[in-house]
Amino acid sequence: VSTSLPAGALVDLERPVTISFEGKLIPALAGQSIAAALYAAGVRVFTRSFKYHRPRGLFCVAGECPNCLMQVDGRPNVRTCIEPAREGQVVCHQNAWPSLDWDALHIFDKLDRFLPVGFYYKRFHKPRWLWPVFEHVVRHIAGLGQVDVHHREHAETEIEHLHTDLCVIGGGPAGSAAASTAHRHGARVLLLERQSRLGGHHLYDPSESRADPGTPPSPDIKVLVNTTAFGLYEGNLIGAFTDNRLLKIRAKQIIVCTGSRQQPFLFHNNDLPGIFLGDGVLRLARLHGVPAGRRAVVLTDNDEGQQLAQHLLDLGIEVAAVVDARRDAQPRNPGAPWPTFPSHIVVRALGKTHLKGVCIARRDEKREIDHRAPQTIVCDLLCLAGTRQPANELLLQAGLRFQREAGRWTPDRQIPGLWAAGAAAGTFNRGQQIQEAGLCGAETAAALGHRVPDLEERRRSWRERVTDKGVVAQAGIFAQLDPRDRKRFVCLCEDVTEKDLYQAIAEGFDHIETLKRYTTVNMGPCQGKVCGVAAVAICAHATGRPLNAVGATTSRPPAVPVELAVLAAGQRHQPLRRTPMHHWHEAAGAVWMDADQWKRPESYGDSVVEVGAARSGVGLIDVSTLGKIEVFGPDAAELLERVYLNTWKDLKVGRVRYGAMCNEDGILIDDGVGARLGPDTFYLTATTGNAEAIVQWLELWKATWKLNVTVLSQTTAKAAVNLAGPRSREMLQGLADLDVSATAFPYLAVREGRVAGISCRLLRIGFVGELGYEIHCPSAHGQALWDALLEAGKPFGLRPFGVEAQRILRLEKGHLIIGQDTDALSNPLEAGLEGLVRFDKSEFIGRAPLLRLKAMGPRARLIGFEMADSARVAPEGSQVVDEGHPVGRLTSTRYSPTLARSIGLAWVPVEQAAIGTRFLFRWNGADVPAIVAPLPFYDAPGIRLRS
Amino acid sequence: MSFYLICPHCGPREVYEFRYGGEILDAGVDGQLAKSNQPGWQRERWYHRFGCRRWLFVERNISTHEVRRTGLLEENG
Repeated sequence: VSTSLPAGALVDLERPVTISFEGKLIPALAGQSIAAALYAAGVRVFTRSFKYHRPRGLFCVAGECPNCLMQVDGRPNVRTCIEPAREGQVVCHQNAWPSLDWDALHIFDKLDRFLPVGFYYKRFHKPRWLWPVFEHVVRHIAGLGQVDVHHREHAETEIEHLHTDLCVIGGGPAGSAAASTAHRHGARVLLLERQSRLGGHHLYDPSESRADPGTPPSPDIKVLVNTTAFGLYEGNLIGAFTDNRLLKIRAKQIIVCTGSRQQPFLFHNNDLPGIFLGDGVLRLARLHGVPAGRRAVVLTDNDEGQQLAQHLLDLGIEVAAVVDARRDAQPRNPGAPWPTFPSHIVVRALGKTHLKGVCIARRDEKREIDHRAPQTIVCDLLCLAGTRQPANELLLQAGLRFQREAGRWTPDRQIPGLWAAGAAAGTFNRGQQIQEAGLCGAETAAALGHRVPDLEERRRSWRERVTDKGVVAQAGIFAQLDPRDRKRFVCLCEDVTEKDLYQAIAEGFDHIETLKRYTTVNMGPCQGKVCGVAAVAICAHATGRPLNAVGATTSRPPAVPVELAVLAAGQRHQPLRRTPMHHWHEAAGAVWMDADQWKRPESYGDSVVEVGAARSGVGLIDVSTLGKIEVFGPDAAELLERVYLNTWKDLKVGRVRYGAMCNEDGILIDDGVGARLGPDTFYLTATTGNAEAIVQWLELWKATWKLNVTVLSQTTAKAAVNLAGPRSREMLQGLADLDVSATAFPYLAVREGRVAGISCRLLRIGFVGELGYEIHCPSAHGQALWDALLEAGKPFGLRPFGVEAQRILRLEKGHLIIGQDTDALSNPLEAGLEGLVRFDKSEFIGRAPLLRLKAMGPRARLIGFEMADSARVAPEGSQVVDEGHPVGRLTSTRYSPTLARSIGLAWVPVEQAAIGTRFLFRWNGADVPAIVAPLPFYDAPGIRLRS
Repeated sequence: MSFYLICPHCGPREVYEFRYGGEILDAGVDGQLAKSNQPGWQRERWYHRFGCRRWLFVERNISTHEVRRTGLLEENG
């Protein structure tokens, strides 16, 4: 019989491959889908359903329904009906245990009366402890594939940006015609086709005759096959993917020619393996070369049923009957060897794990089913040839809505730059589809500015023909309320039955959007491609409203499943930033940490020893990641005066000052030091993570206030180190050509000079609380400066220290870190910086909200604390609690080797902020005491800093 | 969001090249900055981060993302 079976349009007969399925080797052909090869090898149950674990087999063979999802080479939820077989692929089932053919969890199909729609909103909530247990169980037994968290993709995903005049989505006859016409008139055209060949339904529908449907329309048209468009976004941006590549396509004009899909019907056990969409059977045979069965029944409500029966016969499949729901259907196709049953529908499918036959029954004039005399027809294949619906999800995403007018779907309006042709636009007459596509091609060419002499002629002739757009019938899903029947499946993805929908509507979820959210119909992998029309029809039937009044659920990208790795393509280009001394740190055995995009040494092995060196001798840290900003011009002081909380106009040339700034809501955003190099020249530092943002912030206010000032980022132009410790002056003396004595170079002064022959800017500041110098030099000399300092420091026991040691040192000194000790609700009045806020300035950013906060008084305070148990260090982020309620948090906690105590910073309510107050925080379920301590913990008078 | 902004320096560019800088607000009598939070036209600041690194003002319809005016922030009003 199979002699008449074609080879399969997508299959390469010359290239056999072997795949492995559940440990067995399965022969396949290159180009053939995995599912087709498995079907040929006798596999009928491809997956188990989401909720009831019912057996499911191939259905759409177009990558739209959830019935063929499997685990392929570790990737879950692969649509095997369209995934080409490749040598060595490892394929296994998902959502079944122990096997697809015998799934123990199939018991849920029998328990369905206890699992009605929305059962998880109703059951197992009392007592409360039951819910987490139950949720854990449900998550294991329901659902799709397992994500293998240890699996690493071998292929990197990548992103490609394409720009074109016209992009045609869909390489079927309409798409090719539209592309050709537009190209002939001069447009630059990109044509996207999801299959490996152009041709669309021509490739499998034998009622179309064309010599070679796969020939590209013109070599100048750029054709991308195996490319699926999943989203239409504003600005005519198309999201598409091919293999592991994400495509972002900008097109001046878009024509959508995505065709149509047949609608399924509702009857008892309508999800049984062996029940296919009519197109699915044709695709399996003519694209992949595999027959779907031996003896078929066709169920239809339109003229396509008889055509389909003939095609099946041509494929060598016996046709047992055509069941036509229409009353006016011809009883018998003249000359056809199969019987036709007009006014009949299928009421139930027979069989346990595969179709064995169907029961059909008559519908009377009132469309009531006559259950008295059902007939049984033996078959192993049931082909559903329901009325075609536009595959219009991309158009819906773009904002078009389809209205049913005189039984026909019609787009409600025209969106500039977006066109639709063929079945996707609701045109089902084959001749008209080509004409419409040609018109769209001509329209887009004209819109792009090309001369189209026959445009008016095309428009006129289309207007004349458009009155009848072809096949249309009622949405013949046979919606009816049968409270006893719980096995009429609307949604294959999430196991939603017709009864579920009626029940949800009875419970009040009678709007299509609430119905969707409550029942999860339309929410599965198919995104409504199988169930969308049925859900609307049932909603209309149950509520007595017309289809247009019910509307449809919102269509959002992605229209087809896209791997997250593909969507994330392009997000991996996070540049890595290294300081000029990076390679020295690496060689010295630095333990790295990430600071924004930078790599910074967390330590060189032992932070405690590093702290000791800085406190007792001299230490050196690379601070090149600091934001470094030059601000110069006549209004430089004015800009800083208005942006910072404190004053700058009174800062003398050659002096340095600490400053902090707020946003317009009075929230702390950054702090740092600023040096006045000249009357109109300042040099600022910003925290590492904020370097870029602060430059933008200064630029913003410069532009807003129209100030005459230049903001110049020097962050990467300069390297910087902090030389800190009681012996740092002594050490620097021999290396610098300037006078570093306490009188010539006091605390909070800035000097320019040469260190080891390198011209440097030196700032005497003390973040770590010791005598110290921050030395800035051109990046190119950073390593030379570092080397020279290390060499000169040898007699003084100089040790490089990392960020961790710096954090301990600064915490001992009580210095806060913006972002660590503050968050998006922290204001300077509560953070201990109230002395910095100069309300006597007439204007600075955040003044108004800070004035209000000042009037209200502080509610919380950032305070220093010591642990009552000085041996233990609490985790940062622990909650401060008062009578069991969270009232604050610990922001920084460390063991201080200098003080031999466990110290930290914390936000506590103002009532508990007085020094000596004992407060509690939650740690491992217990309330642990700590005591508010005066800040700073170390060197309170600041003698060491200023020495 | 996939619309274009026309940068006075760099020409039409994808919005992803820019950083949104918020609505341009006028301080009320008490100095409070009240965000209007209304659909329709809005005056905004945008920073051309991956371009000329200048601050722009933009008049954008936040319902439709239609942009009717762009220019350098310092030349605004």
